[in-house]
Amino acid sequence: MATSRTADKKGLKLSRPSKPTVIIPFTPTMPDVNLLPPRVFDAVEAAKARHRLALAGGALVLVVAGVYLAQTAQIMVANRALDRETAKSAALEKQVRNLTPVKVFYAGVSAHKATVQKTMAQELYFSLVASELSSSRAPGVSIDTLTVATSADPSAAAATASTCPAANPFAPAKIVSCVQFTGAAPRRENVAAFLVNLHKNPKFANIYIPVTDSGDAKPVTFTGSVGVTEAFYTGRYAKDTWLLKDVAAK
Amino acid sequence: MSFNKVRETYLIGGVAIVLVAMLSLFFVVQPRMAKAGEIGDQRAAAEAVNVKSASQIVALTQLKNGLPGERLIAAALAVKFPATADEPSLLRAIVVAAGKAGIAETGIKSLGPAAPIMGVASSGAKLPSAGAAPATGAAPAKDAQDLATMAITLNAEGSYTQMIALLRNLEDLSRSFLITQVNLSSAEAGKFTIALQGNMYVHRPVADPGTLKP
Repeated sequence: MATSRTADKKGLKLSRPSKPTVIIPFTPTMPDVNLLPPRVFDAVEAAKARHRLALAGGALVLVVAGVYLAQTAQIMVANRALDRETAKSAALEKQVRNLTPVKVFYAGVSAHKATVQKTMAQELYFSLVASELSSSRAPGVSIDTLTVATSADPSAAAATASTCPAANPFAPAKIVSCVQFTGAAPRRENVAAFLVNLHKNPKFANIYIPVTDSGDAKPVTFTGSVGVTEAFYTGRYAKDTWLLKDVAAK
Repeated sequence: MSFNKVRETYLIGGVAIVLVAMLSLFFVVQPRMAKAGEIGDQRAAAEAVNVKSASQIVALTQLKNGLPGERLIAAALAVKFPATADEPSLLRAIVVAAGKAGIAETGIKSLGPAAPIMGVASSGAKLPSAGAAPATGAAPAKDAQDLATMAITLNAEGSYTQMIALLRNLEDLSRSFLITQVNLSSAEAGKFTIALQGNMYVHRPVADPGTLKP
């Protein structure tokens, strides 16, 4: 019977034929009368609301406290890590400080090397200039005086070189120094041969003999100049290997 | 029941909870987060510095390991441009160069190594004086501080061949000798006089790290 009522309540349609109606016997009970005023119900509802709000507030406090604790732990961990890194920094900085003189030494040696290279960049093989000038002499020609100068300053060297007149005024060769010389020869033909020999040497340029005189003791004396090209630069300090020999000797 | 009273309670309570939540967020959570972030940044910065320092140490250690070779280079440079005028070695070296060229010591008529002057030789170069800043010549300031020039003059007598040999030997001295002017003249047949000018240099010594205190 109870099943039938429940099924009816839920609106289920049973295929079976309905059972005969059962009459529930009357049971006498107390009447359900609510005598409480509405404000009591309001107070109850309000109390429930306050209770819920208090729970929510408590939960919020717990959440905030949890976050605070979690953050505190995070800060502590981060502080420890920072302390570790700071301590490591101090140790590393000390190491770097101790090693800095090594870097300074390398920089000093490098600067020393550069200074030597720059200072000696204009070095000429004067011995080669003198020997090649001498070997260009024609038979009977002697060189009595020779003056050659250069400068550590490239612009000054150019000024010196400009004093060396060129046989071809339209295309004077680039020279780095000028050799002034005087000499003697039996005849001017010998001087001409000397000039030809000088012209054959590619290391010389701007060759010129402006004066030839004849005298009694020496039939022909002459004064001339010859330009020294860059081929006479030693260039040895510019090479990467210029110090190797000296280092190997140590 | 009065719905409004319950609603009021929820409203006031909700507002209070939201207010507390916001206050907590602004005055408790956020400052802590900011602090944690700040510490994290500091840590990251310290880590970056440490990484840089570590790489510097690696590089410097490599340099330190190469010190013996660098000392040899420094020593070789100190022979080219020594730390002092070192006149005894200079005089001996030139006499030996002349001797190898077949010129006796009496054939060296004069040899004048001038006192070193600060900087590369120029009209602006001056002798150093105690307590005074070094004068700067034509060279850049750094060079002028570390470099001094010694003018060398030499007069000698011999044959033309001996003069050329002397020049070659002077060019090949272990100490750098920048010859700037050569005058050769012959007073009598086969006998020449050479008047030579040039520069030798003195360089401020480079401090060896081995001599420094740790």
